[in-house]
Amino acid sequence: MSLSATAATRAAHARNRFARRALALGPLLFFSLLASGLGLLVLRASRPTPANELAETVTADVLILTLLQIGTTLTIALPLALAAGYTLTGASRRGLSPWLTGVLHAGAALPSVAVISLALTYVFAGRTIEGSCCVFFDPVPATPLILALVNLPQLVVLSAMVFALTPPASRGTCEALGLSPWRTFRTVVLPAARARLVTAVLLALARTVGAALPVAFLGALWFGDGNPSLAFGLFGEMLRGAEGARHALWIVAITSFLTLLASVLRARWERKA
Amino acid sequence: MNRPTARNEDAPPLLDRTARVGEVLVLLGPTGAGKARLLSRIAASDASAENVVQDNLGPRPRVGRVGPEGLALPGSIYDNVALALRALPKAPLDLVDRVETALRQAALWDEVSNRLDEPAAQLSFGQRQRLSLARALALEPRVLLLEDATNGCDLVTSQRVESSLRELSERCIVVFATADPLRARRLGDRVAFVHGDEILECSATEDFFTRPENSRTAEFLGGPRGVR
Repeated sequence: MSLSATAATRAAHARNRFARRALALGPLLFFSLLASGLGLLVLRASRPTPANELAETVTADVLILTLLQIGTTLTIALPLALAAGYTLTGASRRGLSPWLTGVLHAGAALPSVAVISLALTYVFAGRTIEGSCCVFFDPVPATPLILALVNLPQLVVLSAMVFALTPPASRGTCEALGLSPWRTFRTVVLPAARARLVTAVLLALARTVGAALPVAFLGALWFGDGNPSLAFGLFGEMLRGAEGARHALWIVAITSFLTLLASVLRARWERKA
Repeated sequence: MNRPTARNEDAPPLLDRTARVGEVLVLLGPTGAGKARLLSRIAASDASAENVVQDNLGPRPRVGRVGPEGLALPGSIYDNVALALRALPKAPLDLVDRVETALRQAALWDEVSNRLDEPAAQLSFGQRQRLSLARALALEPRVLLLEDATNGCDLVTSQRVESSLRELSERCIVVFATADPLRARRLGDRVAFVHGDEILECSATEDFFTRPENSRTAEFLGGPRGVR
């Protein structure tokens, strides 16, 4: 038996190393885009605000801000959800306390109630603290914060369910190989679950946005407040009876793009899992 | 590559009187006799902080275990075998050599050498069983516990794996659990009969099949259609 690795193994090793490095570029790209979006947000804040923001929104602005809001929501909620899911499935050998698990399940089961309470608090608090310099009451950063907060219980519960689907034999095998629980999670449980996780994220986001938007629209209607995301742009145009459907078209385009991206990722990861 | 060799003292507590380096010990018994449970007990009895291998690869479990489920972990074929090596405190410099050697020892190399990047899940059941074996062998365990680890392979492939296991038994303690007396006779240097999670009888293969001492063993092997 030859003990020197053949060219095939060396090539596989090199490709494997390249693939792992390329994979690390994904989060880097995501956070770069997020940082760019935040930079644009700061630039936008330095400009004089139009009197009626709903009427004056610029498509490029609302596009960036919408993607920024989705990105920020996921950046806040997803790592927390993964950490909690990891703990809930017993991978960490600790588990969350029963009362916290109960709160998470309740939060996941009653998103509309939570959204309404949070959104009304936000709307009224934002109005009563006139001229407040607190950034959390600015409609732009407040929206992803609320979405993330409401999204979190659903994401936690769904990710825990997804992680629990990993065959126990996989964990047993990793334990027998001497892998730590964290390494088992990172190299086996997460890659096996990520295709299902995409579905979980889409479902959780859809449910949260679906529950949050009516309340937020209500706030915008009452206060004429400006939250220059696509949905508000569309809402503003509908209020004005505008003929142009550019915001609606952008929403369709973005939703289609994100769904397509999710489908491609899901299919690719399912094949690899 | 430095190839460490196990000693008889490396045998887990439950096997210290039955397993030896240089021999393949087969645990034979009917379905439901408790062979898997016994293997789990053997692995658990060895799972303590002191029972780790300390050599140039770094600390790692002394016992490698391969189940019958033919489990492919996420990632490519190469990833599956390299997984445990990468998790060592210091990944070995000859990782590529070790992956290839493990695949050769598991009699899988010829079938996957040109598609190491493909997802392991695409392998057949028999190939996945051998991949599990390669994964365990990559860590060069001192004790190798196998539970019907070739039942998805055809006879020729099984014999190649068994031949490889016999080679491995020269430097590690190999314990193979099966319900198939023919496989036990073909593979084992010593055979132990398992019933109720316990070893009832253990002897050299020829003695075991020709002169069983325990009545349950005789009953399991016996009858006009038996293997004796």
